Amino acid sequence: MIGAVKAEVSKLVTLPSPAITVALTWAVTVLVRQADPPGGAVPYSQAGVLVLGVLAAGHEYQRGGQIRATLLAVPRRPLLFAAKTVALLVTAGPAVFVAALLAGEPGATGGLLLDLLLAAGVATIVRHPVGATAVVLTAYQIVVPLIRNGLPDVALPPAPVWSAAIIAAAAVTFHRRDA
Amino acid sequence: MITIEGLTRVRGRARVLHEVGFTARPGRVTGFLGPNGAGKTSTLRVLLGLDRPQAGRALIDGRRYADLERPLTVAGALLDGSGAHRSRTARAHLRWMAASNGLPKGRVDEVLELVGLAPEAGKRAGKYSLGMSRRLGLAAALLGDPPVLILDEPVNGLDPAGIRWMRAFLRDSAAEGRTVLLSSHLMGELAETADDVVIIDHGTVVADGTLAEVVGEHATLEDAFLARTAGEGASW
Repeated sequence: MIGAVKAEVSKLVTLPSPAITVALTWAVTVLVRQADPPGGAVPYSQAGVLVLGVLAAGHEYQRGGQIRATLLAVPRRPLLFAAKTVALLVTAGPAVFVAALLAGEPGATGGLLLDLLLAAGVATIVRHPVGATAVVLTAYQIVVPLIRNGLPDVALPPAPVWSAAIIAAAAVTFHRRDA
Repeated sequence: MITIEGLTRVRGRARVLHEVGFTARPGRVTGFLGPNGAGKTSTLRVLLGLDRPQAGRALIDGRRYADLERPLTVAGALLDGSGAHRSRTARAHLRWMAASNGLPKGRVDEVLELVGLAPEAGKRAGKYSLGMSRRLGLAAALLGDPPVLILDEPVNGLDPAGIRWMRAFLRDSAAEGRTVLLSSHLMGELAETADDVVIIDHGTVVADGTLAEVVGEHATLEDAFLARTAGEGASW
């Protein structure tokens, strides 16, 4: 398990795109906070965090087919899924905390971490980073606000329930599916 | 030692593999031969735990690949492409693979040297030529110094010098006592390299034995192959 976590951390830190996403997320958060929008800066940080989660899980399935090398190195899939989740929290967690600080709402860290895991789960299921980005951004920016505004009486399940459901679905698909 | 027994795999309504069985022994190069789409890659993917069969089993030294704790030290695999993400350097790719199986970092430089990629180890995998990608894939397969090597079309994309190098490498590996299983659709290549030959066609093993046994009364391995696979070379 320790080897698998180390490997997953190493994969995340030696890939340029997650680092670039973190830098952009911080920059956008700082800029937006200057403008002081009504909902605060967190929704803007959130978009970056979602992309980060998608990239972390979805880069396995980009051209090159790294997922096969991953499964050849760690063929026990439940262990691999757990190692991936731990590695994502360890590497992206501090970056997400900094984003929440920059947004002026350090208390938002927990919610953003749930968003991060949810996005990674969607990318694991969809296996296509661009498609997964479209799914999570549409859900967060359009579908949920529409339901909130259009049907104010409908009680949507809280964020932890959504994240847990998506992560569970991702774990099951990852375990069962042919690679 | 690789043991495959009664392997059957169905995809949708198509029967990809039907009761495929053969063994690959230590100290020998076993050539796995068949037309494109015959089931070579499917068999290897099941053997490596990437796909699941509906029936049968594929074992490496008596164990399923998917149950191995440090698989890179048991079997090395080379599949299509290098397996490296395009924007990661070759060295970084091999480093995470080494870490996953608790292998020392120094081993990464050893395998890079072995396959002749040391001077290009800092380049991103996406910038590699086809031949270099294959070498990187082979370096990954050799990381754990495994006693078993499983290679899908290993000479694809290699230039003549690379093909000669690969052939010598596979022969040497078998001479050291390793089990070498390689798939190919190139008869000439296999006739030069393999001790044992398994021929698969339409998901079924149609011939299995030493090179001499499989060639039999035919003039060449190619003739034997076309006779066994009903000469479908003309169908395209």
